[in-house]
Amino acid sequence: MSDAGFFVWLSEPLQYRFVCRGLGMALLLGVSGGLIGCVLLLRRIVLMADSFGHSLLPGIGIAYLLVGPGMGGLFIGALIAGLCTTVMSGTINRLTRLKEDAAFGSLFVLCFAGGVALMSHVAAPVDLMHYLFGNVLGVTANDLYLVTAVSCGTVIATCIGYRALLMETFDPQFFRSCGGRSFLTHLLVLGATVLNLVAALQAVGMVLALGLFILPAVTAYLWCERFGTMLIVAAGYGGVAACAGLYVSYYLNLPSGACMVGCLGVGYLLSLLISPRHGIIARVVRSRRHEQEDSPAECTIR
Amino acid sequence: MSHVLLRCTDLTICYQRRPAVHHLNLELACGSFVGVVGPNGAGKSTWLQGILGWLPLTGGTVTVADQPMARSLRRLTYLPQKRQSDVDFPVTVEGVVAMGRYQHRGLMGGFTASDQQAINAALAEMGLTPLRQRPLAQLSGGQQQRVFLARALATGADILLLDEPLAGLDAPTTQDLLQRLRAWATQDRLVIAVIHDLAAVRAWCTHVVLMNRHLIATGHPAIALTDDYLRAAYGPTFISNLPASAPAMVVP
Repeated sequence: MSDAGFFVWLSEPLQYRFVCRGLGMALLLGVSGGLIGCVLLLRRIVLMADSFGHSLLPGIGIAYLLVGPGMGGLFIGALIAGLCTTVMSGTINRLTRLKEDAAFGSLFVLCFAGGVALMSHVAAPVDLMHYLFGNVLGVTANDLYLVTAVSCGTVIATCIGYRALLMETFDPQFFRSCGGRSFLTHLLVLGATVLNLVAALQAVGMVLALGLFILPAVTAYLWCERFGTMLIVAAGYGGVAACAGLYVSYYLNLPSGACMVGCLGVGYLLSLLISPRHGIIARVVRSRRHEQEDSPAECTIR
Repeated sequence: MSHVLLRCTDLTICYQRRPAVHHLNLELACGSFVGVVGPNGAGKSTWLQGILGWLPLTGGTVTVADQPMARSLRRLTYLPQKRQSDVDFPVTVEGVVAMGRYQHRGLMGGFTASDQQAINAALAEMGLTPLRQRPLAQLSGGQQQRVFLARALATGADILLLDEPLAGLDAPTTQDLLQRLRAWATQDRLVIAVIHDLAAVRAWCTHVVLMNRHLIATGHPAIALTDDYLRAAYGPTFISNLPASAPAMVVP
């Protein structure tokens, strides 16, 4: 493809306003999702965040019932559902022998089941599919404002709270011993996760929302040796790959959410193979070389 | 030099009304390397966390240089027994040590020359200067422990609470760390370390706190680690491998 051809390929979809909105949404969600994903990944609570996403459904259903479709109401409904799930799993964790992951896991299937029943009752099946799988090309200007607020808030909070985030993610006990508010930071991370999940619902849906979080983060993790660099790479890659996914969706006429997550996945799969330090090829080459040289001392730092 | 830095008066800490540590009266002086000794479940970690203010005190007080604990938090640093930190975390050696200075600069404050100096000094002290740019994950267990101790040093705290800093380390590394901890104590600090190796405590510590929920003996290792006291702590069938009458090893 010539340069001019590529330019036309890039600019052609932009004549449609809904595509522009969709691209804005993809960029914003990719960036803030990448940031959140890094923290979730390093705290090893990625799957907890996933179950968190599913537990938002009853909140959305009830909000739908009360105020009808419209992102503001659904946003608040989901937020309340998220907070309730957190409090309930915390209580179960404290009062019974169940650990936090088990409490979350068992609650989320219950919530999800309730949510599916509720949604099928209050909304047309199309709407349920919409919240499960999303449609970034159907966003309104108001949706975009909300996502802009959430995304910018996430980026600003990450910049301001970088040190607290680093300490809380790396070593919460040391953070606490320095007088840091470990629990508050953890709550803020969970809060930001809920906000971003809800923001991502419209674009990619509940089932794929985690892809926007985790795929940029795992990709960056395979390349970076510093937390700050990892955040920047994940945010940048998340934004670019999500937009690329939208172009793929436009030209191949495929579902937008799946294309965005799919594009993020391509970089991840490539990184798994070719990352210079942690990739599969590098590992195989290293172990081959060691076998040939037969020098185990190479592995240790002298 | 050897003024009392940490004082616990009638300290009691309970878990759900069951006392984990009770009626502990202790005065620990600046310049001491204190070995905290006792069986598993004796309340050693609980005591350290009580000092930090993480657990509510059921009774008694903790003071640092006659000031209430809450006002002196910056004078303490803590190295937990099982770190929750992930050693595969994307961070360099220098990055970990720099975390020790964050509490002095807040969320956004830039590092000053004195911060950088403290970081460099801590790295040099623990022999980590050549490794400063290495990712933490590439280091051995002993080297990682040295990184965490360097971070504790970089905080500038003069009371170091170390919960089993020697767990899982080989003999030369253990020896090396004990030597450094003792040297730190002589530099106007109070080092309090939970250590299970009685021979190491006897050889290197200047002071012992022997406890099993309550204080059993405290003082110089030769005085506090007698067979009688050890049996009182570990049970009547306990046989210490320490030679009963051997004096504590003199360490230069």
